[in-house]
Amino acid sequence: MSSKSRNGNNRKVVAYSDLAIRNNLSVVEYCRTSMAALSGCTAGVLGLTGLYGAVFYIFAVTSLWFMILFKAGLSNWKNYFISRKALLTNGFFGQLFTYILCWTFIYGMVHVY
Amino acid sequence: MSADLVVDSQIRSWVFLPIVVITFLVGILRHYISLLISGQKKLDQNQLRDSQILVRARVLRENAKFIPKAAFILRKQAFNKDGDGYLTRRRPPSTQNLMTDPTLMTDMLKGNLTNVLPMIIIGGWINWMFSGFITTKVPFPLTLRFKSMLQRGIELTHLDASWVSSASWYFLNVFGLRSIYTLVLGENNAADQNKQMEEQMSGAAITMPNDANAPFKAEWEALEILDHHWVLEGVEGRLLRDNKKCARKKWHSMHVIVITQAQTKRSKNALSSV
Repeated sequence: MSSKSRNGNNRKVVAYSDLAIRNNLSVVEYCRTSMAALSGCTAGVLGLTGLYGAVFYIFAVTSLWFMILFKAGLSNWKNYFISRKALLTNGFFGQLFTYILCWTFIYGMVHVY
Repeated sequence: MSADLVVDSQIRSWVFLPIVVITFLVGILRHYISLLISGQKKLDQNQLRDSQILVRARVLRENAKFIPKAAFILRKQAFNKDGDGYLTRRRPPSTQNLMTDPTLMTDMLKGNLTNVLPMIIIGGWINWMFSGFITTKVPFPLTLRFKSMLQRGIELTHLDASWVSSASWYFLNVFGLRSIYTLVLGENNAADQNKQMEEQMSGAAITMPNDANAPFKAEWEALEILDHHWVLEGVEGRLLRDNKKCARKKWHSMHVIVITQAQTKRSKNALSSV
């Protein structure tokens, strides 16, 4: 993550740089889409079905969340993102379709054919 | 659970993969065609000025605590003066009726054309051409109710509902590839149907006939009731008080700076008078 959001005078008022926040969020969106595609392919190759697949998706989303927080620095993630929870649950359903698509695709390629 | 049905590998190469490729390429094609069709959006100068006035009023409200009271009152008067301020000027009610405004209508038509129509056409073509056989197995269990929806054209009652036909594979592709378009085409691409639909819905909600004055009234009210409180009040005292040790040094250094400025001013005046 290249850009940083600016903190104002550190009493109670914090000023966030709008451009930086948007840039960070778009980077996270990019990561999330690639993660959905890759984890879908993995699930297909592994041959997960049904509930295992759903659990794997949740596992992938959570691990991506951890990795992002780790990269932002566990103590100063506040410099880059406004809220951690929004980071976790933001694109959940949007990427779910991508995950299911890749999952079905690779599952079909590997196990059915 | 590996294949409980053995599927011909020709289906894979001639149905499964081509549907993915077709969906992806049609999406990209749609993006470029919509770029070509939609011309430059003409900006109305008055509308732009009005929206910028609203933005400026909001910025004034949010940052009022950083400017001294006199400056704030000056700006507030410019906005709220009776009859002539930026916000109180009379505006003719804009008849933004959805049906009669030609530009909105053509925009909507174009949006509909480039998004929904190809999906319907290609969905129908795929349904006609690739019908009568199953295409793939979805990896999650589905109830029997989905069978009629997902297995169009296949009349086997004993078949597991996870085996789907090509039409449902096509729709799964359409929904799943939407976020991949964001990767490939960058943000703000026209292949993303979801955003288009959201835009349509919000566009229909924004056109409020005969009530163009409402946002201005709201801003006027908000400015009127704002309680101004300058955060920089007495900041010199705070600075000097908090740094008592360096205060004396600072005071002396400030003294020196003031004296040197006065000296340079005097020398400048001397030069100019020569």
